[in-house]
Amino acid sequence: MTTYGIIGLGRVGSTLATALTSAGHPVRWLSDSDQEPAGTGMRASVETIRGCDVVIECISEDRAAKISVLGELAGTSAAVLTTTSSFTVAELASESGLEGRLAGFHYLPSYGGKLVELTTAASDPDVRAAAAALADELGLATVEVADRPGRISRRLIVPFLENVLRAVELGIASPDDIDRVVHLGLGHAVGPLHRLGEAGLEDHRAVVKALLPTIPTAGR
Amino acid sequence: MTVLGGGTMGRGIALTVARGSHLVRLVDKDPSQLAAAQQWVGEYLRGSVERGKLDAAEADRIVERLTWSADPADASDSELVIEALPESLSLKRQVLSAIQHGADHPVTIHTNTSTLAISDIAEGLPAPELCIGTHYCNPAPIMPLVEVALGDATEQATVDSTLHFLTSIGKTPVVLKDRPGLITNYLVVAFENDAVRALETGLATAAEIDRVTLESMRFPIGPFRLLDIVGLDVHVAVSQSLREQLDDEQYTVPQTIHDMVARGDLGVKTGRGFYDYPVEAKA
Repeated sequence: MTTYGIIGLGRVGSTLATALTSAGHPVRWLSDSDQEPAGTGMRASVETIRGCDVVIECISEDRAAKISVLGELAGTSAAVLTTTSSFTVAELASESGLEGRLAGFHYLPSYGGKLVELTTAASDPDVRAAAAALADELGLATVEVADRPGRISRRLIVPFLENVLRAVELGIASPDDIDRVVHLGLGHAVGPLHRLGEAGLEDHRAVVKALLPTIPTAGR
Repeated sequence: MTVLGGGTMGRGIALTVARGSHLVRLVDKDPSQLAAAQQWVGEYLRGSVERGKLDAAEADRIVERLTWSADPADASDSELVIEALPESLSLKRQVLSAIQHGADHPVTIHTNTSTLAISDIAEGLPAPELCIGTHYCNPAPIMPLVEVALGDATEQATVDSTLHFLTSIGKTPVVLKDRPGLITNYLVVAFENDAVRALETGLATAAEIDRVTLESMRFPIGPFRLLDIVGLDVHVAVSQSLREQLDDEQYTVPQTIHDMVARGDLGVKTGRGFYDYPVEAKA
């Protein structure tokens, strides 16, 4: 069985830790939180994480923090995956000394996403294989995407959600009615404001801050 | 009652209203558009019967409730006129004003506008208090939502009767602030333009972007497939109107769409848009 190291137990990290533990993989994790979520493997030291076969970085979208966390993995044989969408794999890899050892593994579990956007063009073959194996383990389809901020999904959904928030600010309707309109009129399974609430507005803010400079028409 | 305009929305609304047990006349000045609408209704109902969703006798009754006319003056005998004309403020004002003037009884106006303010359309009508926005979603017979918008002059009795009517034909009305684009077009048109701009930067292919939209973001349809279905010429008209009304760069039509329209690649209806539709080419 592959030993997985998970850094950051937010929404994505916990989802991964739970799924991999229940699939029978040894899971070790590092988290700032004092909580010890049940069924998600064991809290571990940086040294233990460095010894895992595959390490998945899932901390919040803070560039400096990511580079610092990833930098601690430099020089190991672990295949390292990052769930970031806001930053390019190239910039994170070069600034953390993980050239070739890092791949992008981005998906949207809070949206019920069934597709992982992989960014592996500059990754070593074993790192690519680790990314594909993880997607397979989670029952997710994959698509290789260009190494750009936002990948495809965040690049498109962030301006959409910003417009939804603007509709609230403009008082076009109540948040509940906006969700009803998007559900009944546009056929979305779940209303966008409900989704935003689930995923956390801080998360959205962090992604917006990282992405807006690259999306010329999305500024509010 | 009368539905004005035999385009995609007008014919869909007429069918929806007839299905809701009302007698309805569809008016379009263009006889070929009128014939196309009549043919579409027939095909739609045959399809519903074939799929077992509709009883054949009920389909016949729906057809019997529908009449067809090429003269807008005919609408003056109706108590309710549902307007689904092209998005031109002057055209809508002129036609609706003539109908209210020509009638010897009050005529309630439901406008299906998606990009104009109701107060602007109602301005200058003999009875602006009877004018209200009811925006159906495409395809009208299927999507349950109707966005309702009140003009400054719309009176409460009009609102009440409108909500009652919409519920009676099986729709779910949601009352919104009177703002061009309401919510659905405000969100969708910006999303489509943004996706085309992302395509222009070489982010990925249209098919890849559609796939991510469906499988990762879990939207029910990708932006390029949707543009092809709506028709790129229709998208340009809606987007340009929103650009003018809202003064928002998001609604500036991307060059790629202008180029495709210039080539005659309008989507499903011409056999080519962002995708090819060889089977549909005859339409």
